[in-house]
Formats: sequence, C-alpha cells, structure tokens
Amino acid sequence: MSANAEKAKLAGVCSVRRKTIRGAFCRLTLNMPMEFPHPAPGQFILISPQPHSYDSQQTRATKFSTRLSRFDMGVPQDRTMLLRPMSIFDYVKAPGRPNGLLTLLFKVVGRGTLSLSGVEPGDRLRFLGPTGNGFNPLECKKTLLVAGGVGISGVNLLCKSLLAGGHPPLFILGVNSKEESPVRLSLTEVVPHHRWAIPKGTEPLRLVVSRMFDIFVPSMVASIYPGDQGAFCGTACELVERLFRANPAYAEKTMLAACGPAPMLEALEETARHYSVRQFLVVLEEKMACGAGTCLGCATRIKDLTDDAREAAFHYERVCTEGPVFDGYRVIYRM
Amino acid sequence: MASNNPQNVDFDDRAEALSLLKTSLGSMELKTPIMIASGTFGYGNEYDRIEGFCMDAVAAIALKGITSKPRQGNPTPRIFETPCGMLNSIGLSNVGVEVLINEKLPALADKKAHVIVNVGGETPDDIIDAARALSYHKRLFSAIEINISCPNLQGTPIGQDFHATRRVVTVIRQMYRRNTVIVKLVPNLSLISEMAVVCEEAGADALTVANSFPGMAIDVFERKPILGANFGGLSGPAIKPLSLLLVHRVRRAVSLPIIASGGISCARDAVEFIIAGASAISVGTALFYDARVCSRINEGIVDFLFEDAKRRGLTCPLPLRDYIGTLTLNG
Ligand SMILES: Cc1cc2nc3c(=O)[nH]c(=O)nc-3n(C[C@H](O)[C@H](O)[C@H](O)COP(=O)(O)OP(=O)(O)OC[C@H]3O[C@@H](n4cnc5c(N)ncnc54)[C@H](O)[C@@H]3O)c2cc1C
Ligand SMILES: Cc1cc2nc3c(=O)[nH]c(=O)nc-3n(C[C@H](O)[C@H](O)[C@H](O)COP(=O)(O)O)c2cc1C
Ligand code: FES
Repeated sequence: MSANAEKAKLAGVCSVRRKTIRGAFCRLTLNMPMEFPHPAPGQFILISPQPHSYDSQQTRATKFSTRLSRFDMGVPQDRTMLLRPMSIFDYVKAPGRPNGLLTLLFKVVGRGTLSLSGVEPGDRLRFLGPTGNGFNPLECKKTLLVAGGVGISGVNLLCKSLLAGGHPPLFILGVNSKEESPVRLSLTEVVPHHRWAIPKGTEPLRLVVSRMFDIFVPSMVASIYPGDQGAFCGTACELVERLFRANPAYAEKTMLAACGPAPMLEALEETARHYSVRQFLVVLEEKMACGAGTCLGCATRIKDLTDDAREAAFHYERVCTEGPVFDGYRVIYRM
Repeated sequence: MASNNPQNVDFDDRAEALSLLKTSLGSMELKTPIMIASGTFGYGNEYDRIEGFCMDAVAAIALKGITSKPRQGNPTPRIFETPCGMLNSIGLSNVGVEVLINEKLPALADKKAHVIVNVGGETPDDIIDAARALSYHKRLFSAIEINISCPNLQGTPIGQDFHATRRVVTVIRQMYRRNTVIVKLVPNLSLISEMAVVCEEAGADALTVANSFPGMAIDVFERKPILGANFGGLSGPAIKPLSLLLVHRVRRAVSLPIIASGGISCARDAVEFIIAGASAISVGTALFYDARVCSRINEGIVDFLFEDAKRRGLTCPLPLRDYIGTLTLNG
C-alpha cells in the first residue's frame, strides 16, 4: 500500500483551539499551520502530550530569556517525552482560511493521553504529520465500516470521503460499556432516520442515522451493555456476522474496514474469511517512537504471501510507514 | 562583523556565527559537532520528506546498524517510554549489507552530511564479515562505526571482551585505510578506560561513548516484562549523566577523538559533553520527539559562545573547538 507514501509531512507546532471532555474521552480541535498538508483518510499525526516552552512564540520582552531557554530546554522531568500517535478524526480547511482545523478524539489510557487531556485552548503542541499510508482507492462500491469504541477516529475520515463520493457506507459502532456512550452520543448524535433500507437480517433492530459532522450516516450500534436502548446487544463482530449470515451476497461485494482493539479485529477477520468478504482493511495501533520510519519500534507481523496461508512465515512491517492501514487478512493479531 | 562586539551581537548574521561550530573528527571535517545516532535515522533518507528537519544542522549521519545477513529483529512490543527516556529492543532489525550497498548507500550520494555506516553482529566474525562486504564500497561512506555494544543481542556484547574487541578492531582497521574507523563502546563496563586503550592500540580513529544502557520494564498485572524481547536499551535524557561520566573517563584514558552519545537533547547538554572531552555529539532519541532539535542545538551553542565571551570580557567569541576537553575538576 503506497498510495500516499510520498506525501510530505510536517514537523511543526499547532495550537489548541477547543477541548471537550466526556468521561474518559477527550476531543481536541487544533489549529494547524498553513503548510500542513491535507491528510488522506486513515492517516494520523504524532502529537506532543504537553506544550513546551521553547515552542511558544517569542516576544521582544522574552527574547533574552528564550535565548537561554533554547539553550536549556530538553524534556522537563515530570512530563512525557515521546509524541503519541493519534488518528486524524477530522480535518477541515474552510475556503479562504489559511489554517485547517484538525480534530483528535482519544481515550485517556495512560500518562501521555492523560497529559494531552490536560492541555488548554491556546497551548501550542508539537506534532509530526500527517503520516502513514491511508486507505487505498477502494475496489468495492459497498462499504461496511466497523469501529470499536474510540476506533471511530480511525475510520471517520474515510466515512466522510465515501459520503462525499456518493457511496454512503454502513457504519457499525461497537461500544463495550456505558462509559463509551460519550463516543456514541456526544460525538455521533444518534437520530432515527428512514431513508436507508434496513439491512436484511437485522430487521428487529433499529437502523439509526448518526450525524457525523453534519453528514448523515446509516449506522448501527452494538453494545454488550444490556439495556442499551436501540442498540444491538452483543459485540460489533456479532452484528456483522448476523448481517452477513442473512445476506451472504452482500458480504462478497463488500469492503470491510475496521479500527479498534486487536481482539475485535481478529474476530472480524474470521467472519470476513468465512463470508469471503471481498476486501478487508484494518487500522492497526502499535507503540511508536519516531513515527518517521526510522526506529523500527512500531513493527507488526504480516504474513508472507505464500500458497499456504498459515501463520508460519511472516515479516515485520512498520505501522507508521507501511501502515497504519493493512490488509486485514495478512495481519497476525495475536501477541 | 557580527562577532566584534559581543555586547551587542547581531544575531541575524547566523551564517558567520555558525562557522564557530566547526570541529573535526580525525580526518573528517565537521561543519557542526552534531551527528545523528545509529538506529534513529533509518537509512538516511526517511527524514527527507519531513518539512522542518534541516540537514544543514547535521554534520554526519550514522545509518541503522547493519549485519552481514538481513535480520527480522525482535518480537513486539519493541519500545516503551520510561521517565525521561525510552527502552528499545529493536534487535538490530536491518536489511543486510547487500541491500545497503546496492540500494541504500547509492541513494545517499549527494547528502550534505558525512555518512557513517554502523556494523554489528552476534559474533566478532559476523561484524568482520559485514565490514568486509562494505570495504569494497568504501567511497560510498566517510566512516565505519563498529557496534560492539548492542544491548539487544543474545549473550554479552562483544564490547565486554577485551580480546574479541582487539581482534575486531585490528582486522577492520586493516580493511579501511582511508575511512575513519569508529568504535562504539559498551556503556555499562567498569573497565571502560581500559577498553578505550585497547581500541586505540588496535588502530581506531575515534570512539563513540556510548550506547544505550541495558534495562527492563515490567507489566505488574501480567508479571511479565513489557518488551517482547524482555530486555532493552535505555536511551534519552535519563542516561545523560551516566554517559557524561563515561566521556570524562574515556577522555582521561586516551587521546582519540570522542563522539558523545546518550541523552543529548539541548545545547547545554552538547556543551557539557564538549567540555568533558567530546569532539562531536550524537543526537538520537531527542530527534523522535523534536525533528527540529538539531537546529535548536546549533543555535543554542552559538548563543552560549557569545554569552560566555561576554562573561569573560572577550572581544569575540571563541570557536567551539577551543572548549573541547577543558574541564577542570574541583580541587
Ligand atoms: C496510528 C495510530 C492511531 C491512533 N489513534 C488513536 C485515536 O484516534 N484515539 C485514541 O484514543 N488512541 C489512538 N491511538 C492509540 C494511542 O496512541 C495510545 O492510546 C497512546 O499512545 C497511549 O499513550 P499513553 O501514554 O496514554 O499510554 P501508556 O502509558 O503508553 O499506556 C497505557 C495503557 O494503554 C495501552 N496502550 C498504549 N499504547 C497503546 C496503543 N497504541 N494501542 C492500544 N493500547 C495502547 C498500554 O498497553 C497500557 O495498558 C492510536 C495509535 C496509533 C498507532
Ligand atoms: C530505536 C533505537 C535503535 C538503535 N539502534 C542502534 C543501532 O542499530 N546501532 C547502534 O550502534 N546504536 C543503536 N542505538 C543506540 C543509539 O545510537 C544511541 O547510542 C543511544 O540511543 C543513546 O543516545 P540517545 O539517548 O541520544 O538516543 C539505537 C537507539 C534507539 C533508541
Ligand atoms: S515509529 Fe519509528 S519506525 Fe514507526
């Protein structure tokens, strides 16, 4: 997958414009510099979890002290050091405006994301991006997007571009607890709608239409949390399975793109194989250091192309460079 | 002239000021003391596509450690962030000398920096084999760095063994008459001064002091190491004081030029290492979190030179090379 491997990336500083926190989820809107290249669906940026004083703008009054701070500043002791990879949830550049607005959506899981959730509007954050190989031009007209929780940010731009291209995807969001309802409610406002046919096999369910950035997407929510109103009770993968079972011909024509935790992706692979889904793409996550393809820290195992599709032969590919979008049939999900 | 009156320095004349940073490493002329550490710059071209990274700020780049045969590297996860540092267990994942010679090195022909190849291996003979294959293509690079200190290989690093080190360096020295031969020392070696002497006797032109320190991290719920390969090398600002002491000790033992490596992330770090005795400083992990770090360090060193001249009442700043090894210990 080398659709946009040659695209330039920028190492720069952006400023925080807006922050919304719901439960463990945080949405950040960033004001990107003018030179920021337009990201492709599936691409991501690396972002510093906190501002650094030497990135702040110099004023005449601080010139001497910044001269010294430029001399002194490394990484402050109480902070995280490495940048964190984050999918580009949304990017809009209004006509006539020099700066684009980039939205991140993330879940607080550790030191870095905790620190990132503490930034304030006006803070300046270092970033690198947009980077990675996004979704290839798709072969299939029918698309099924599956997001596990905050994985929604990995497929959202794709969803947007499919809609713009006149091929509305079907969107399935898996939430695993009441906690994740912010992903579902505040970030995709759920409203019932009737324009799209309810997929065969899911008739007892309600097909909802989520509003994602003012575009309506036919979508279904799967929740393992019983009593979650309007949602399918079970995992996202079980819902996908049910859809394919009722409608195997649909599966064979479909491109399935998924982003979420590894066990979900692994379960989806099995389903995709079983129903011979035409194309299966996944967005992978791995810890990163450089994000530039140099450190080889983000390696993931990819099955070699052999006649025998067993797991024996594999090689490593870099999630930051060859990925994060991979052929889901060739990824080895288990540690 | 920007430098005539340091009280009133014209900071816009950067080009002139930057010429204060020139140093050398054996026969290699360096436009600035900054080099990029092996393993943090891939095969030299990855940063070309990053706007904001400036090759002019770098005098030399060390390529990813290369072995005679390609290596897949270690199981994942391979990196973990620790306070002010990171553990890596890449495991010398690399394309092998053949691909390096045929594809990677020719692509670097018009780099504005010296190219340093970094050779490694499980055994002394592995390293010698890789160095030999490269020796037929000597003109493609300026220097060869012998990595006897990779913390991510099986067993103890070769750089712990005086006899093996002497042999590797002697043999490789004989293959390379013109290119600068650099030996990258093991950091956690109590006899590092003695090892430096061995390398000097065996004909090394310069020493890199040092590499990442062996370390580990544990997942407390699984009660297992976090890294797939169990152990890794610690790099980043956390190890800076450790490598600074090593540079000081090696400086006292030998007169070879030293490349400092370990935790350098700002101009103050760079100047500390230079005062301790390094002729060049190598930036690794810092590049991961700030692609502009090299320019920032250069500018910061210039600021320092002017500031120091001012404090000493000099009419113009001294060149950086006059600071190398000028440390005086307390009474
Ligand atoms: C290409 C890419 C895109 C991503 N996009 C998003 C996004 O849009 N929104 C979002 O919330 N997260 C995203 N992530 C994951 C995010 O980068 C990590 O959650 C973050 O780096 C964790 O940093 P931390 O310091 O908070 O956690 P750490 O202290 O490093 O880890 C805390 C816990 O989180 C787990 N963890 C750490 N990193 C990851 C990871 N990469 N994947 C899964 N679990 C992890 C650890 O095992 C640990 O249990 C993305 C990752 C990649 C590689
Ligand atoms: C991801 C990574 C990969 C590395 N690979 C190599 C290598 O292949 N050969 C080598 O000699 N040193 C390697 N090193 C060590 C660095 O070159 C450097 O000596 C060390 O990281 C300390 O410097 P720093 O703190 O500035 O990063 C690697 C370091 C890192 C972080
Ligand atoms: S994060 Fe360094 S190679 Fe991918």
